[in-house]
Amino acid sequence: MSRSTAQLAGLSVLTQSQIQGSTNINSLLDTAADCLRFVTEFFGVISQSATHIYRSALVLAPHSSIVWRLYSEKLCSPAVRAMTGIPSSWDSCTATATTGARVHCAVWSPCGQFIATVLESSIVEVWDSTTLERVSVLKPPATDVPRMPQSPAISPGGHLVVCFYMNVRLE
Amino acid sequence: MFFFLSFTSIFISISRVYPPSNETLVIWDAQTGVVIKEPGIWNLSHQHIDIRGCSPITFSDQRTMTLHCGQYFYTYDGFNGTQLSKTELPPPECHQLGAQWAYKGSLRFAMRVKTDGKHVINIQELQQTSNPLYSMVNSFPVSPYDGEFSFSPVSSHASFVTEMEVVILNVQDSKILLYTKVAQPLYNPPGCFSPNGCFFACGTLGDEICVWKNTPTGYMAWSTLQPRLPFQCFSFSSTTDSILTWDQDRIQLLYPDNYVSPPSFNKTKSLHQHKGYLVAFSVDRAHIAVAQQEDAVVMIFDPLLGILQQSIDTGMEIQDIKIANGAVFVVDKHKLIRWDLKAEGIMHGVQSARSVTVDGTLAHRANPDTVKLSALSHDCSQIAFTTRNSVFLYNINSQETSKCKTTNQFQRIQFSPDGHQLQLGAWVYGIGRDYLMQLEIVGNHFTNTATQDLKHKWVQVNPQSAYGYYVGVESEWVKDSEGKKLLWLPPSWRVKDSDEVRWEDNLLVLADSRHSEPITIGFQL
Repeated sequence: MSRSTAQLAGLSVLTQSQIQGSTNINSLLDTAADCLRFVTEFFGVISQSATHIYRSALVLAPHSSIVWRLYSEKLCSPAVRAMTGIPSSWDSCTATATTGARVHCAVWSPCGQFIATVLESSIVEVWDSTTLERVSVLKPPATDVPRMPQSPAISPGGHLVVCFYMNVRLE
Repeated sequence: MFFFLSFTSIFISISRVYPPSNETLVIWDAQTGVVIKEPGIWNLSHQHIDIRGCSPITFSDQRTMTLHCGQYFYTYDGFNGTQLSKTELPPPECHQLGAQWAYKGSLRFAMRVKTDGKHVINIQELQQTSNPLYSMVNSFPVSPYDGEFSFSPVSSHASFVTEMEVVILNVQDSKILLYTKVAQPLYNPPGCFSPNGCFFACGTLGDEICVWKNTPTGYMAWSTLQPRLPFQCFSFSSTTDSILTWDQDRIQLLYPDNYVSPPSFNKTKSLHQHKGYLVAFSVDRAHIAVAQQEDAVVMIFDPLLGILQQSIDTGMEIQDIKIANGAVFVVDKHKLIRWDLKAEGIMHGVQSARSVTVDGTLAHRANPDTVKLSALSHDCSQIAFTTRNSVFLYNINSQETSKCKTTNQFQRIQFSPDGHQLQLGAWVYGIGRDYLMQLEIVGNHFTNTATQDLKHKWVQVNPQSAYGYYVGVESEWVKDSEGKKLLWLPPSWRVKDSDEVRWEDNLLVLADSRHSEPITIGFQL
């Protein structure tokens, strides 16, 4: 599922909630923000299985969230129930991801839409900055010597990714 | 944030091990991942650039990029890799670069320099021409502040950060906008301004990010972000909407606008320093007791309602907890306490600082100063504890003690699920694996039969569900015995070590110490 699809999914949830009577514009904006937060938080499972929107994502959503308040009643007989440890509200962390190797450094694109992580394995990964979905994996041309990545950057507009490599030779 | 330190450490390690190196510039198409040019063309070794410790690359327009390395600025054409210029930094040599940014097709940078005994912040411009020249844009005298320097070109504010202090001033009028001493030590690198100049942030050794907001009257404390994952570095997004942190192989996004909720459970400790959770269930599963090892607080949850029922500060460095006969038992190296669940936290046996204590029963324990570990039996009738070279079994009711000599220093201790063995574990550095010892218990005594094992890893009690449910290390799914996916786990909940998983019938507890409280999940049978 792409980022735009995720936003559409959030919009779909929003549309349903709008139908359910949210007429106040501030309330609508809050609901939209909450839906986007929900989709971003659970992008990993929503992109794999629609049924797990209820089976997992809604089960794990904070109980103060608008999405949970709107749809939790549909969990009339949940197969899974979170008893403790669920945060009471969305925290400041919106997404986490695991990279392919240890991160050497990371930079944002000037437009703010992408993040490039330079790994100690010399690979550069480009991420969507909303969902932390991996957009592309950039491999430097193969060489006979180990490489040490340095100073990555994304060009304005996000078209180019550049990275210096220091080619090191063992004595 | 740790760019400088990490680059420095890399430099040191390379200079010790490797001969001089050459450098390669690689440019990709961001969407397709295709390398735009062959690597041979980009070999820059003949240009003698030492890129170790370089600044990040700054694009001054769509294709011109510059990086600062050592005493030089290097400018390249980002489309064909041609070096456009190599420009030595202006004198004096004693300087500290606080920021570099693009300005109308040129590169500007802020440097703190010391000239004739006076400290100034110079804003200079490097024209991107074939014969580049520096021009001085502004020069601001400043007081000789200590600490790492950073600069916001948007607000013209400069920061100076030491381990415990943050100073921010407006360089145009030298007005101090923030002077604060922080509660937790800050990371050594300088912190950073957000690109729009609205925020300033510093990471603390407690794994928090302190954010101050730029207001007309100065910088005010805005939020303290508590990430889910430990981090070593962070940076604001170019739009200031988010903060990215990274450490090891994990990255995370934070929203600086989100005020943090009050810590629910000892969250003030560093994420790196948390010790494991101790978890105990009542027989009827109506109560779960939770504490962190060597912490003082015990929390009692009602798992059915999902609410915190009691939170008790025992004043102890807790070693083990259990629930038996409607009471919570807590033991540390010095004493045992108990309180009835119905009595809402009225404790017994806490009058004495050192010796004993539930109803005077523990008076004959070993010298508490020599106790290393202690554990409670499941029915809370026995306490096992270790000293430097012995293991003891103490019966709370009869006050009998059984002793067994050992040669190892153990780090873990627990009773087996049936209570017939005492299990002890030690990590043996010499052989790089767990050493396990199991002592048979008959009545109130150890038998002479001790099983010793060097092969197997320490296994926490109840690592698997009796119903076949399981969750693997690093797995994103909890599955049933047939492999059906029951529950997806968010990345920060995924199990790093099998020790973090406890099952009680159909209840799963994820006791990862990075969580603010253990996660308990019930699966419908």
